[in-house]
Order: sequence, then C-alpha cells, then structure tokens
Amino acid sequence: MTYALTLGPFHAAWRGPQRFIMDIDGESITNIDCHAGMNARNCGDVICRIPMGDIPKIVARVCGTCSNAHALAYAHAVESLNRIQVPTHARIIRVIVCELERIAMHLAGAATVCDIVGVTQHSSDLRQLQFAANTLLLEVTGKRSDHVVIVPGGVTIEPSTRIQQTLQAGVSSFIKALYRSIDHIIDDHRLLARTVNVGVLSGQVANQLMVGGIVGRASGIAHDTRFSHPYDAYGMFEASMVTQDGGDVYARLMVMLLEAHESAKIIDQANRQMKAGPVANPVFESIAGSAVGTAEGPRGLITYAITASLNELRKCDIKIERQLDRSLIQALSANALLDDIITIIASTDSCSACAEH
Amino acid sequence: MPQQIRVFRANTGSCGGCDAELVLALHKERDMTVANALIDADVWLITGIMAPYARSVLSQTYSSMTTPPIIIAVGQCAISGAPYGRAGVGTAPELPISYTVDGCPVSQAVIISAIRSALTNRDRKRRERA
Repeated sequence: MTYALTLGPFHAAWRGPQRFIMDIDGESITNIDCHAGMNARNCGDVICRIPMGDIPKIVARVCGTCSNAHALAYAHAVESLNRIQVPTHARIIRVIVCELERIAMHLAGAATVCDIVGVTQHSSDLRQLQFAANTLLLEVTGKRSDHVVIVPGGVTIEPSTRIQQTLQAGVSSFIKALYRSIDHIIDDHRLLARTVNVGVLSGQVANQLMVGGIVGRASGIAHDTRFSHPYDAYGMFEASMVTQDGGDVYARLMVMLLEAHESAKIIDQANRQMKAGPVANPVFESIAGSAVGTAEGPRGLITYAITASLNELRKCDIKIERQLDRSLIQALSANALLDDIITIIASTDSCSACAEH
Repeated sequence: MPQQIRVFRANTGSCGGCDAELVLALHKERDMTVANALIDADVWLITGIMAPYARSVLSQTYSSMTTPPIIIAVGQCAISGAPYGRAGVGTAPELPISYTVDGCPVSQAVIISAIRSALTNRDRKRRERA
C-alpha cells in the first residue's frame, strides 16, 4: 500500500519549524520532500537598519542556541575590516564561552536522539549534563543564552577569580561525568540496534553535497576551522578533531558526544592559562570597506560578510553550513524505514534559526 | 488540573533560545510531558514571531479542536515581535492568549509557574460556571 504522510511543521524532536512530506510504500520511504522558510526573520536586513553599537544584540539573537558563535563570526568580520588586535585574555574568554555553548548544544542534540530511540536513562543523564554546562555558562556570562559577550574588539565580561575556580571545579567533574555517560552509551545494545546503519550518508555524498559540521565529520570529512585555521586562542590548546567513518545516526551521535568531551578539555586548559589583562581594545571608529569573518559554530561554519561605510553597516550576508534541506534529507533517508525518520532528522541537529535567520 | 499536563512547544520563528529553556524546564517537571502533536496538548507554548505559515497551521488546528488548549506566548518576540520588527501573536487575534511570559530568553521557573497558574485559573473558571 502506498500513501503520503506529513511530519511537522511543529515537532518536539526538531528545533525550529520544518515540514517533511513523505511517500510511503509499506514501511519504506520512497520519496521525501522538505519545506523550509518558516523561520525567516530577515536578521541581515534588521542588522543594517540599526546603529552599529546595537548590532551585537541582534547578532546574538540570530540563533539563541549558538549566539556566541554568531557574535564571534561578526566580530571577526569587523576586526578584519578595522585591523583590530584583540587582547590575549579576551581571546581565551571567547574560547571558553564558545566551547561551553558547543557542549550545551551537542548534549541537547544527543539527548533528543536518545529520547527518540527510547533509551530514556541516557537521555536524562545527558540533559543533566547539559544543565550543568548551561549553569557554568550562566556563571561566566550571566545568561544561559542570547548573550552579548563577544563584541568587536574583545569581550564584555571579565571572569573573577571565584568564577575561574567554580569553572575549574565544574569542568573537572563534568569531564568525569560525561566520560561515564559516553562509556554507558557507546555499547548500549538498544541504541546500537536503532542507530547503526540507519540514515547513512557516505563520505562521497557528503562531499558532493558540501556538508560540514557534525554531519560532515560523522561521514569522515575532516574539516573544522578551529583546527585547520585556528582563530582566537584555539592554537594555544591541545585537542583533537573528532571524525567518524560510519556516516549513520550512531556516528553523528558519537561525534556530538566526543566533541563535547574535547570542548570540555579545551575549557579546562583555557581556564588554567587565563591571566589578568585587558578584555577589549579601546573604542574605535569603523572604517569603510568590506570584510568576511568566520567561526566554527556547533552546527558548522558560520560566515558573516559585511560592507560598511563610516560608522554604518550597509550590507550583512549571513551564511551557515548546509542544514537539513531537500537534497540532504533525500540522501539521508534513501532506503530508510518510516520508524527511523524522526531519529534521522534529529541526529542532524539541524537548526532552522541558523539556516533561515 | 490534569494528572499529566501535556505541553506542546510551537516554534513560530524564534532564535531558539526560549525553546532550549522550555525543553530543560519541562524535563525537570514530573507531572508535565511533551505532547506528540498540537491536538493532543493541554497547553500550547508559542515562541517566535508568528510567521504567516505558522499562524495558518495554528489557527486551523485550534479551530478544529473540541477542547481548546491554553495558549501561552513565551518570550519577547512572541509577545511583541521585538527585536525583529514583527508583531508576534498580535497578528493572530483568533488565537486567545491566556498568559504572556516576557524575557529574552525566558526563565525556566517563570515558564513552569505560568503553565500552572493558567491551568489553575481555567479549572477555577470551570468550577464557577458549573
């Protein structure tokens, strides 16, 4: 029997509104279509209509779950245009807040996958760890999300000695707890049965579709700008890029968990190397011209291309690594069963707020 | 108040900050569960600027429900469309908003207390009518 089935636009398993229309034959998906565009807020235009001083507030709200990565990409563009040197202390603080954000988002994505698969104990553990990461982020920045911490020229916060000590203790216990969780998850038979060889995206197809971020790295594409072109203070710390070869849901889940672990190690090193110093350069006058800034967000590369005249932004193009769209979902769901489609969608941790901004 | 409160989060075009807070807030409450679909929910939590497409889906679903849910607008952009220059839930007068929870992002405790207050109020009104 063949029939059509619609999922969305609202669903508990995905972050933003997206609609999927599937043709089903028996239990197999024969075709799938993706309707997006429901989260467009024209942030690029809004940014150009407001004074330059207020832009970081909007940039942080392009995506509330990776606001620091967006703020960092925008700051890189402005700093490149105006040739601003950022103090080392500020660079280290930037790394800490971006990595805390990455941990929170990766664990949220992994917890959702575990929830859908039915391993609720793992999901609950991962949500507890996400809450711990969010609490540390709250300690450092004063807010759980939508922070205006990273601004052109530096950062707006200076963690006190007490906060540094809290961070050190928090990250140490976090690394141990996350390691224990990964150890339990990695060979859970229920999880393996539902995720291995499900939603496979081969490295070749991932290359053709130019997929990056966790989806790309889970298909063996070793690309992460934090390691290939280290920016800010990333070059100062030892960590390794996480890649998997499977390209399936399990590989994507492992990339999320292991990257969260690597991020915690980076934060630990950054916190130990933090020394008092200036956190921002003095106020500067923006000069005219064009520039591009990039940063590796939790879901892939974020690029801001700006064109400015004197103290005014004329154009701002925001580009994000490919998120879940028609081509990608068709590639992921080839030969997939209906039962697996929500797991496949959730495993990409796609963000419509980033994609449609 | 129902024994298990079924809550559905409808992101109508938000940055996702409030949505992340909602997921964590609901996770901690034992008497609240995430509903499978809009029509199964006791409470709708609306985040985002209320994009036209989202409005039509929500309005059609709401009008087809025999037991209408409580609708709570969550976050600054749902209430007023700020800072994106939109109007939020104001563009959908057919959806009766019981509560608004302001903040950018909203706090987890306030969301939970708003859900409980809204359900208590509804039960009180039902008792008075009976």
